[in-house]
Amino acid sequence: MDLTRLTIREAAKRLKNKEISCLELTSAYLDRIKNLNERLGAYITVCDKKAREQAALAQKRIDSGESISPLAGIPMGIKDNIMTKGILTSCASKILSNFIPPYDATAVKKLYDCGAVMLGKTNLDEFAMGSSTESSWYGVARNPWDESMVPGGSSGGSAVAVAAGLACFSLGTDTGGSIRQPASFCGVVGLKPTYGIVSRYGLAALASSFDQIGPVTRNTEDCALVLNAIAGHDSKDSTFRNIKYPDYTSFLKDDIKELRIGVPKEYISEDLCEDIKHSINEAIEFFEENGANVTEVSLPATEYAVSAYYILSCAEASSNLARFDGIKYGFRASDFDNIFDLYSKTRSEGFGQSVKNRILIGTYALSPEFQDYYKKAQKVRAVVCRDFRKVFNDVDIILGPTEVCSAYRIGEKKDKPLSMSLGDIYTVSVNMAGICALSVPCGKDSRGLPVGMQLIANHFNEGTLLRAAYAYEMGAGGIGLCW
Amino acid sequence: MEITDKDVLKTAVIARINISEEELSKLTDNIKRIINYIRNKLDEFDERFDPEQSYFDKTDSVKTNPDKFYFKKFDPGKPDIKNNTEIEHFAATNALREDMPESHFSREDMMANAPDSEDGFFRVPKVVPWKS
Repeated sequence: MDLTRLTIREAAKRLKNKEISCLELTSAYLDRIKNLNERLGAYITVCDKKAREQAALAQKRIDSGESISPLAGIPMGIKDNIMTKGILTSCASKILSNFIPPYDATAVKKLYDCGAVMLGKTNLDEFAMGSSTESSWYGVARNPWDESMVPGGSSGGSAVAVAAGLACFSLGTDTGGSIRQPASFCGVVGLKPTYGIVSRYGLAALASSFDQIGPVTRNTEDCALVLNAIAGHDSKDSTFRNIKYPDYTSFLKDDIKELRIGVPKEYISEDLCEDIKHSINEAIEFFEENGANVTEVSLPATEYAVSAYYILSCAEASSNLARFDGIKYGFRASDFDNIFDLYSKTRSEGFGQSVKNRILIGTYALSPEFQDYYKKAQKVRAVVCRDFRKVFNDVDIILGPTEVCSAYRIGEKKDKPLSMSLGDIYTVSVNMAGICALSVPCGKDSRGLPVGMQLIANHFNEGTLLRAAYAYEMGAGGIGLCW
Repeated sequence: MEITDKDVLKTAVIARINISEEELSKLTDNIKRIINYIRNKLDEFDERFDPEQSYFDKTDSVKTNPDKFYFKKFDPGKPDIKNNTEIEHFAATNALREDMPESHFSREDMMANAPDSEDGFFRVPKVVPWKS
């Protein structure tokens, strides 16, 4: 039996029944990483020793018979912009290529407390800026369904690891679609939780008002299990929401009768690839046949969201990335005349081109010359929020494609940042409004590459997303694994 | 107003990023293309959504009740949220806690990542020009 094919639930059951051991499970993943990581570029750092130690500890907890989380002994990958104590956290950038954090991010700590096993740190676009994992200083990640294709991004490594059997689940981060888009390209489930329900403490900030940590998993049930572990109170994040956190697995019911689903007319646009339109239409038919009420809705500001997002996220990023100056941590240029020369040379040598471009655009966006447009972008954000609020008075979830196309060739859009960003038209609005959304596989295109369906719900309604996605998975069947 | 090489250089100084002469024109072109696209889109948005008319979509054939769903006037400080308790909760609070002392990082831990340090301090080039 190939242990790396098991879902969290399946592996947890075998661990509990002593059919397999934590070390066997972890070793199976480490072996597979050894064989495939160089080719796929999923991990920047592999924690062989730590993983085995944690597996042994988890085994002890299971053996002692204590009541433990289903994540105990389950091997995971963590995106390399999430802090891990004592383990290189590079953000896929040269400027942090020697940075060993002295603390764990809250989400990581919560997973450790559950007994999850750290396999390593997954690849991403440098500082999570990008949609293809091509701008990583450590090299590209490849889509396991077709290695000439990008895996999406910025959480490309996290999606590749889960899709290719190099991790049972992983954490990604989503600022404008960075969990959902790679999940859709790699045929896995990716959830961007409501802003504020997963602590951002220990996440290297890209755009603080948009960023959110979330799970990448093989199916919806696993997604609920990981969300159970990472969601909840943290006094170290002032944006956390003090709500009653439910058991997210309680929503996994194969029942979508009376569910009100809205399909935005703006999401089934001319730009959308025919194959994806076809898959989405089939999914809509599935929901209708199973008793859901599907109606057309409108989100009129959709086409302006990417432009507004680009301005706002670059502005926040330029401010957040000002801290990388070669003084307190990270890379420092070796040859400089004075303090300003030190800053400039460190940043010029330490950041990659796409990061520098966004810092420049963000700095310009915050200059007096551009302030009218910065305000306009904030107004777009307000209207996007209002559009959603209005639609959620009439429907429970919004259904549409995750991306305008499936995975594209490595190099195809590398020098076309605008064209790449415009592919995120269906995902960025969700971050602007701070609501939750999930990408679930809904078939393959004519090239055999996965297609993702995006389900969007109002703040704190992850349960509704999980229920709809679970029912869809049960009824339509997944797309299977790529190996 | 088009972005020029001069604008890009000025921005680069503020952002503390060096730009070589060879890369300048290509970089300006890239930034110009992106900024122009964004400007056009945001201008179009302004034409379509009128702030005085509650950002009503003027091209939308189905009119909705603006009092119910839209702000009277753009005011991010006072969202009209009374119809949705969840959003009300979302918008209304800030997560604050008592400012209590708790465990903190040791000096050694904090200095461990420093590129250059001496006696527990960060070492940097001279900041203030010294005149004798």
